[in-house]
Amino acid sequence: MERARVLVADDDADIRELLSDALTQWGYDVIAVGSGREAVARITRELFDAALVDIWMPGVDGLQLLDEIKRHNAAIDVVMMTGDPMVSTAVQALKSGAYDYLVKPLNLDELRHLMRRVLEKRFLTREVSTLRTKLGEHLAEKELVGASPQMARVKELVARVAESDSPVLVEGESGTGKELVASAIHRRSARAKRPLVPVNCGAIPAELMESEFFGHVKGAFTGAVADALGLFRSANGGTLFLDEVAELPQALQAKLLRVLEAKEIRPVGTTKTLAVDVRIIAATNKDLEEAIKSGSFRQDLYYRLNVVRIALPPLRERKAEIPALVTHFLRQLNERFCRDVRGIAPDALAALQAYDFPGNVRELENIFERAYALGAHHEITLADLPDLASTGMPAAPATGESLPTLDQAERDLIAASLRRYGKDKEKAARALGLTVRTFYRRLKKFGLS
Amino acid sequence: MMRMRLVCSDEDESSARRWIVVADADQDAANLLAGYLLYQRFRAYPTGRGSEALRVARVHPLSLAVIDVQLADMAGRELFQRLRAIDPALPVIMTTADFGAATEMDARRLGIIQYVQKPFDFRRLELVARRIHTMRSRLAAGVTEG
Repeated sequence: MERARVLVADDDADIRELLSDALTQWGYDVIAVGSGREAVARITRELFDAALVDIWMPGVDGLQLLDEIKRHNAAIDVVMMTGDPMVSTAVQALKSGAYDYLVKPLNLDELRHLMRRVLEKRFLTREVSTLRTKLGEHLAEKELVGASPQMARVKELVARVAESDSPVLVEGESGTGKELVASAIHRRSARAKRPLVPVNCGAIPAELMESEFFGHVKGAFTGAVADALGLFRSANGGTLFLDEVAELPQALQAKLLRVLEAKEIRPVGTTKTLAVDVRIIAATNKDLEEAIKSGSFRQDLYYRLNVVRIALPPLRERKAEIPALVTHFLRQLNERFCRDVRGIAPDALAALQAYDFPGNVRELENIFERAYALGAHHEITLADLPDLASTGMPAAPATGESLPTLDQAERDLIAASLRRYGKDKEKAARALGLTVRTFYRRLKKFGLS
Repeated sequence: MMRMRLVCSDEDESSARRWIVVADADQDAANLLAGYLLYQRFRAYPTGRGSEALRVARVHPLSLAVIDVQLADMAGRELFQRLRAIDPALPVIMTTADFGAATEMDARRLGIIQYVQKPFDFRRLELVARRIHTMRSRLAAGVTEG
């Protein structure tokens, strides 16, 4: 694998050395210069993949240098470093095309992570996101896929329950398609022409739940500048999809129960109740019966929601469907991009089938989309797939040189800093952006002194 | 055995490194809210244009997007859909100075996590941002320990 080249521009010699050591250690080629002028000279003569640039430098400063770099080669990703977290400067840098900024004292873990993202994932992320953007318009048409007995049962249940108006509880691990079940039920129901309003219960802070669910009247609290409908009235006549329902706090569980029984809500800031007609579909990746035992979920609400229960099987329990799913994704992608990728190599398929997919169908889809974006062949090959071996299954041997672990890198850096500053531990700690206490803790951890 | 999340490897990155995009045709409103979030130690990026928000989202994983129903170059719902195409799980707050019921119903059908009328209560938005960050770190912990 070719090493990525990084230009470091900082007028502080200590920082230059620190960065050179760290980046070299992590497998990058580093050129460090002490002024903006030198940096400009370098970029006009040589090729770089990324640059780490200090914002404050005498002469040509960081922002000017950023402009020069972008003018010369817009593909170089520039990370700005600033000693003072002046937000306006940082934002200005980002607006002028910097990739990100780091605040000094530098945190090496953060730097390492950032550099890895800049250089290794850059291509991949962009490819996949362009692909996703193009696919975007079609996301809504997604369907439940699968012909296994388990999935056949799910589809049959969906069709049956769509005709009724009873509450449905969908259970399944993340990525199994709970929201697809909700939208399939809604689309086939008599409510199909009315709204389907999805809400992730885990994302709403407890303090704001009541007004989100039941709406409020103007002046009910600070920020209530006008009447608001809330989720129930927005979904009136249609379906409210409560995702991650186990995350609802107790107080709201009680209120929700009353709403389901009385079919009316009371907006925050009023005593008036309003009738609502909403079908509830709830979903969870947690075991609600466990939650009831531990007291975090109300049993009476559970019975209200769990009139019909649909359990989605995890992908690892229906691996036989992986080839069918892959074919399905492939057909979709080919149609979308007018490409003619014909299939997947047997060893690549075997690698997929050996993997246990903690992220379920969504993970398979992501992996496949990515492979499709990367692959330039008539079929998806093992090389297009990410390394699935880290889960302990047989797959491709790792390609290229492996990076040192974080612990190794940390240990080496601390050792290097000790060598440079000798007995002056305070200075050695400062050079790494660590407090003296942390520094001593690490020395002990790694057995250095 | 450690279960590794293979696809969204940025997921386990500390959520503090993720960006919050604030998009509003009213650039002053965007700057004000982003400034407040930055002051609360979130990494926030203000813009008046949907296209700029998309550019940011393509290179930076976002933790949250705060989108007004009206942007300088597109409608808020268009930006919503295009951001969700990049990250299907992205939490979105929709803001508006239009108090019509139809606007709210349209926004909520998209699957937003909060609907906020302007002028907004910063504290409310901050609460949501904090909730998202705890949720994400809990999620990341759960997945890697699996």
